[in-house]
Amino acid sequence: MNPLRIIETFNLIAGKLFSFFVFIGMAIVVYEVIARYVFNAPSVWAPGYTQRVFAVYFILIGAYTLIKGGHVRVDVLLNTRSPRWNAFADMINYVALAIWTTALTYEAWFYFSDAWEFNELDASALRHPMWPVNLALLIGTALILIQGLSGLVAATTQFINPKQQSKG
Amino acid sequence: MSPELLTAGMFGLLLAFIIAGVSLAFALGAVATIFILIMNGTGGLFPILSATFASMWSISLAAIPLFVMMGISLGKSKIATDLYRAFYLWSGKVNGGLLVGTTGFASLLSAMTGSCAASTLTTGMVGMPAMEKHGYDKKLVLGTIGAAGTLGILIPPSITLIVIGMSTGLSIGKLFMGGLIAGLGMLVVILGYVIVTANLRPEKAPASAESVPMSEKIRSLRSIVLPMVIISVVLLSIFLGMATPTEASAVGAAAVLAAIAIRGELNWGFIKDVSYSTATMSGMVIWIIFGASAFVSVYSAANGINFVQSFLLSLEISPWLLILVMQGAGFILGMFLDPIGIILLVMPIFMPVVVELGFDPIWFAVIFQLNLCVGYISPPFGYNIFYLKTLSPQTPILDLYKSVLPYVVLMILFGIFLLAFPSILTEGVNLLTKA
Repeated sequence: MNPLRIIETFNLIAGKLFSFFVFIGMAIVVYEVIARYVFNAPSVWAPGYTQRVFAVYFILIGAYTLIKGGHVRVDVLLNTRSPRWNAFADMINYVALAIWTTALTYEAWFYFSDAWEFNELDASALRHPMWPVNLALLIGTALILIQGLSGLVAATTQFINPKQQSKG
Repeated sequence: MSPELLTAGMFGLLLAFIIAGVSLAFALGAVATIFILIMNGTGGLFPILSATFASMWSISLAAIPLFVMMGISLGKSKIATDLYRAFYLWSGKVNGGLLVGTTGFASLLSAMTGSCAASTLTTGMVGMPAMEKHGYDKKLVLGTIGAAGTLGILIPPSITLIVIGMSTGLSIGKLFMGGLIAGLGMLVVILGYVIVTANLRPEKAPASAESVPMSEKIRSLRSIVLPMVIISVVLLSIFLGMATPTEASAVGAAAVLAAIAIRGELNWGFIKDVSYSTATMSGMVIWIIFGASAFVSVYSAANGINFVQSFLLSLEISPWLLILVMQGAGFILGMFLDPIGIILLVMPIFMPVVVELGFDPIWFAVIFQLNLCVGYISPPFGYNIFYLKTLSPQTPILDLYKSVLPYVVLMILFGIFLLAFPSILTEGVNLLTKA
């Protein structure tokens, strides 16, 4: 199987799984609302875990959104008749993505390893470890970077040889 | 790097990327990365990551996917079709009636989904066949749907207003109240235009001849009750300061899912569909926020924001002219960029100037938001024109321009009206938030 297809399939499946985090987040907030306003018994963990679940959700759905074409682009010059020009525009798009997410992934690695090594805790009353969030940050940025690089390869192939039908 | 060079470089490269078709999120992030590399080298990249981390760790952003999910569930369930039927049954028998009903539907749907694209497309798909059958003028129909659809970013619960609150520290409840006043006012203007046009030129929007028994009309109302109750409770709890937007959005989303379950429509396929669509839509918004936070953090750390602010304040022009210039900038940017991106780029620069000049920040922010709506339907590049094009692919783009033009003019006039009479917004907002 084509490695580009493997990356895309993996990111699709992962993204679909991560998308369900929104229901977990919703459940935690609803639980907290009931605990606080109905039973007058707010919990210490709910706000911290609302942050954790949504933070992880936000960063991990990036690659899925990319595959689904959800990151909006101004298409003044896109959708032209020239497949070579379209492929070139895609290349610029993926290069921009790669510049940003390489920096993110690089920094996220140190951010995660520091949190892991020093067992960093969050600043709220909860005092739970931060490394799982930092790990999600590293994974999320790495996944969208890999997806972007694979898109760059596909777009470059298309640019060099526009007649070939690319599935990416 | 001098602030002049920094400003020209960062915004110039951003513009070049956007014109080349780079996604807004990636363009913002890449420009931030490139400029921080130029200024600080590879050792200074951390602010790019910390901007992303600060955004994802912000609990108020959790309201975004939850409101998105609430809207997507409503839009995908048959509640939307029932809702349209209720508006349809109650408004058929006068000139332009169907269009009045459709406009009401579009704005209610906008309020629920907070998304121009979703409400414009859904309204078009649900409403256009019936109006075509009754011989309505296509241009009038498309223009009205496009205009009513943009109100989604103004009428609460609005994601863009949440982002304004987040980036400026203004009360989201007050912003919602201002958005509600401006949005409903704009709705009245749109409806007025439809009714006047339909009565002057009845052939454009003829009255329907079929008569519907009263019992059926009453029955159709049942479908409105539940969504209206959910939305009212969500908004009231935010206005009255009883709940944060995040809490209200979670309860609202859960209530909508429960309502759909009671109707027997909640199956695994529906849940998957809602989950995936929520992810792509939230992913787009959140990643623009990641990119914009990085951009603003780099620009601001290199003194860019101070530079533009002192430049604006040193201009020898009247404060009112400066307000008009800033509002005009919103309108022009609104034709090209996504509203979320504009707010995050421009609000940190403009807001301190507005406060410094002694104007009301809520008033400024709400009218700025209205300008973004106008930019959204303005020819030649307004996003909603392209959504209208997908609704009616055979309509030439020039006809679409003509169809939205009256509404662009009306919306600009309404914006000027709100600017000229600030008390409508300032007093209106205080009325409810003080109660």
